[in-house]
Amino acid sequence: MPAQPSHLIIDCDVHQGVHDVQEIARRLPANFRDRGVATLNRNEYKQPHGGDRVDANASSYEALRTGLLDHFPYAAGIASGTFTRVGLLPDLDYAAALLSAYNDYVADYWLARDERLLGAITVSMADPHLAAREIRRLGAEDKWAMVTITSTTFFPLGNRFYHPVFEACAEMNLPLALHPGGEGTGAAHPPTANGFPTTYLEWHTNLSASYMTQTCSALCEGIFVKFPDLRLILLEGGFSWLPHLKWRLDKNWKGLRDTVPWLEMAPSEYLAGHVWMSTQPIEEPPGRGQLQQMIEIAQVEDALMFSSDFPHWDYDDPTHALRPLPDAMKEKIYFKNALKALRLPARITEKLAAPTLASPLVAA
Amino acid sequence: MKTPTVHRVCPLSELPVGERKIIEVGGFSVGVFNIDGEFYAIKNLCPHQLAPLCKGKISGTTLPGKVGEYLYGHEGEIIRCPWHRWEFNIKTGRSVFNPHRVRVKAYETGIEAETEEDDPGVETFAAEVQGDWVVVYV
Repeated sequence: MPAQPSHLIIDCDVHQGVHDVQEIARRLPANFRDRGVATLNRNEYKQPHGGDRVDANASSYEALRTGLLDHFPYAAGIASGTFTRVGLLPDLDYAAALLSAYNDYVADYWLARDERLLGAITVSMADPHLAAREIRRLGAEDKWAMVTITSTTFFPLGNRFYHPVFEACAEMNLPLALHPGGEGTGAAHPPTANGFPTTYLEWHTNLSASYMTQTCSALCEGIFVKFPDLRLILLEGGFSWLPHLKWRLDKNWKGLRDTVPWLEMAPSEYLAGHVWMSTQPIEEPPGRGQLQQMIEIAQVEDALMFSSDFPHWDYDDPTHALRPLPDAMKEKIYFKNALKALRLPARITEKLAAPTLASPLVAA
Repeated sequence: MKTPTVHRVCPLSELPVGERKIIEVGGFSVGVFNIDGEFYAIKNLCPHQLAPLCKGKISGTTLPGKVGEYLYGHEGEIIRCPWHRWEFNIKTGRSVFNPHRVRVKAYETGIEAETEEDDPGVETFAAEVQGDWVVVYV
């Protein structure tokens, strides 16, 4: 048993699988029943050595419980699922129906089994009105901690086309979490502005660029002015690119402010309290102290949230991934920041408010 | 450094060529491998995020070559971590991705000065056959 952190963890990206695909299929409406459940293979960019950890899986509740939830001191894990890429199917009605069936399956099989598991409502941005309808259909139930979408969209994220989704998220007090994996697949755009890279190695590395365009768009289009309560979560996109984006954007804005007159302050100032980032896959700079420096330079100490990405191959271990960071920073990343970003039920927040949990972390 | 003691792993017949055994010895986990009838042992702990390294896939790997060229070698000598897929040479415990380290001979005679952080490796142990048993010295 590895050394344990002495505090509880909120993991904002846990990939529970599908234990029985028929459980989704039988929840489809009659008109789509023959269509079945779309297979979401990413043949364009496959991890050649397998997408999951060799020694763990999350294809059943038992596997997830023993491999993760009971193995570490988990207060909560957000079941972000594996279906965001349904948002790239061209048949919008089928995509919406399939995601409703999937969300109901997640609630019935996964969320009902363990009070530490909270859900992410998966929606397709390809039809924002159907997405908003799904968010309102489920959003009142406190089992859902966020809404999740694929991080590749047909327009840059802040585009007015998507505002109905932001409106619904703000109304239900649910953050909207972008998850990568669809870039360059299905009906999506090429995964980079320069087309299709050759290998999974390049594709995975370039995902950060997708997040840069989405963040820039979200800031410039004024969605945080129009929806002051809207919260975005950037899952698996990294954060070391943020200083560059902020500095370049704010510099340009000084001369181009007139093109985005709705912004009441420099674009990057809208990040605080509106945009959060997950840790995994944690950047691993070569020099001692550089990870902490980068967090300070990027000013994301209050915006980073721990995520494991269990059981995927690029999983970060809850005990070891944040080793280089000081205790006060770890505490924020392991659970304090999540209290502000996610919509958590009282049973979770009360557990984290207990005084015994404020003790210093064990140095790993 | 204390003198290694001999630990029985398993009868020879239970560890055929290409296979591995993971055992607990001296308070930690060790993987013992049969590569073409020679036995090697490495610690079952990846230096990156401490995954159980020896549960990974055993394979060969691509060797340095010209751009666009794929030369495959070290068949059966490479263990790939079950988590992040880092590759290690079972015979030496050395990671494969460090520049200039794919050729095991080169590192054996060459570069000793690097720090552990720059050169993540796995502890290796002597393993051999005694009579009908595979044993490891830890």
